[in-house]
Amino acid sequence: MSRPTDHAAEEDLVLLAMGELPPDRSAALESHLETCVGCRRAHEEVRAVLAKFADGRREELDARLPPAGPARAELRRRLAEQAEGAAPQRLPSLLTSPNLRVALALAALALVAGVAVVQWSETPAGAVAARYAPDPRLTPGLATSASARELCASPVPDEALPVARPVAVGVFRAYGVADPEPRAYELDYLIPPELGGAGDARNLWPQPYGAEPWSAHAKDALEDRLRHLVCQGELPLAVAQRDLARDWTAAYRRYFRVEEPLVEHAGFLKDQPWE
Amino acid sequence: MLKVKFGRFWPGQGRGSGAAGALSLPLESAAPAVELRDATGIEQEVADIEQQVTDLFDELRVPALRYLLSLGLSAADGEEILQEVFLALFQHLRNGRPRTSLRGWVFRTAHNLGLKRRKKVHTNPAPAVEPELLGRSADHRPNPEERLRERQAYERMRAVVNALPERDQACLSLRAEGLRYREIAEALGISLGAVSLSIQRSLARLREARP
Repeated sequence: MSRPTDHAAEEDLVLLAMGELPPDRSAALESHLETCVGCRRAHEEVRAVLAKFADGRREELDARLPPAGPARAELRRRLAEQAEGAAPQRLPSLLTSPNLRVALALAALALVAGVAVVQWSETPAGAVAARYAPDPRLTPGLATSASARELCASPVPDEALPVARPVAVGVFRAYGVADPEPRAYELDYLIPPELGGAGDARNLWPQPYGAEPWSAHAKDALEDRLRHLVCQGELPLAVAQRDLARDWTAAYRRYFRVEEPLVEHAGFLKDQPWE
Repeated sequence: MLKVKFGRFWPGQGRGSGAAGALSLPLESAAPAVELRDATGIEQEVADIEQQVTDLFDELRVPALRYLLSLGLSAADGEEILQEVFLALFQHLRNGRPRTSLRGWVFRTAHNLGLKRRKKVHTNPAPAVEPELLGRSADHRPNPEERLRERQAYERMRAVVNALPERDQACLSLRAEGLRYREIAEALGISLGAVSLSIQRSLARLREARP
């Protein structure tokens, strides 16, 4: 490209004018432009044409732009609403589904089972602390840095992440349960692993099945619902984590739009009881 | 935030060796450290994302709105679409999606929603130049004759651009908004080569139309 008669390709002139030519080719072409008047003129013209079009277009369209303030304020308001975990519009409607009979039958069965657990757990061998909410000082909730995409790509295993026995015993002791009744509790992750919850004592607490109506069954149903929303892209992962860590019963009320746990959730079993 | 090691059963939980290594309290695991976020960290992350979305809105609202107007949408429709775009961006970022080329992502989402909206409202895709609007915009040039010449030159250019295929118009509009070729390719879902050819073709037409 050193001889003025050997003109640069139109494509390269445009790419140079647009700042899209790789650095080595860009340097070679620029040195050619110093000696080739025709190419230099063509290059300047390309730049000028785009600049004039961009200026004229801006002038034309800017006159139609509304002021930014209201749109910005509206976005802030809606972001805050989303960040507060406003429940999406769609809700599962078991009551209208063809599985209604099955669900009600399961629920009835589960209620009977639940009563049995409560009665059994009241035996003198060990009292069940009726604690449906974790102590925020002991269990503030802890999450890993796993993203929703990573988490949703992993199927939920049949059994919950096992907890090392010494750790589990430590958690029970911290909650004042020296001799936990088998099958009366779920050693629950406040933020479940499938939503990025960490396998750490600060994310675990003994949740009694007998703490009706806010039992481990209801919590399991909520976890299932939140994972579904997160994996559908309808709820930011951090919002789900935060809502569980803050107050899971409030989250349940918000996400299912009810005041008390739904009857069909009394039979919901995702995680295994502590034995 | 603290760094702890523990067993792997879920993404982000490192590698471990079964039940005994499943919790972080016994710290003897040889797994790489992973970052944990407590409740405060999670709250902070949500706030950071909100701020990042607002910053990008401040930066991109005007060029993206101009682009939507050039698709033939009204300013009100454009504003509404941008609200949707930036709320979707909030989800996109929160769900751990890549943060590179967010400008390309914003324009792609705006472009797709814009076309959808345009189909719905049956608006003219390429509105003619509106001279009365040109007269309303800020005039920074002191010479009225020069200004008139420039306006006429732009009107000629607009006529040329309006006759271009729609994809060429879109490429040129996005380039006029300062997007790089790779961002245009992402926004329109076409190859880098197609962007390059399109812009070269459009600029050749514009140069031919110069007095």
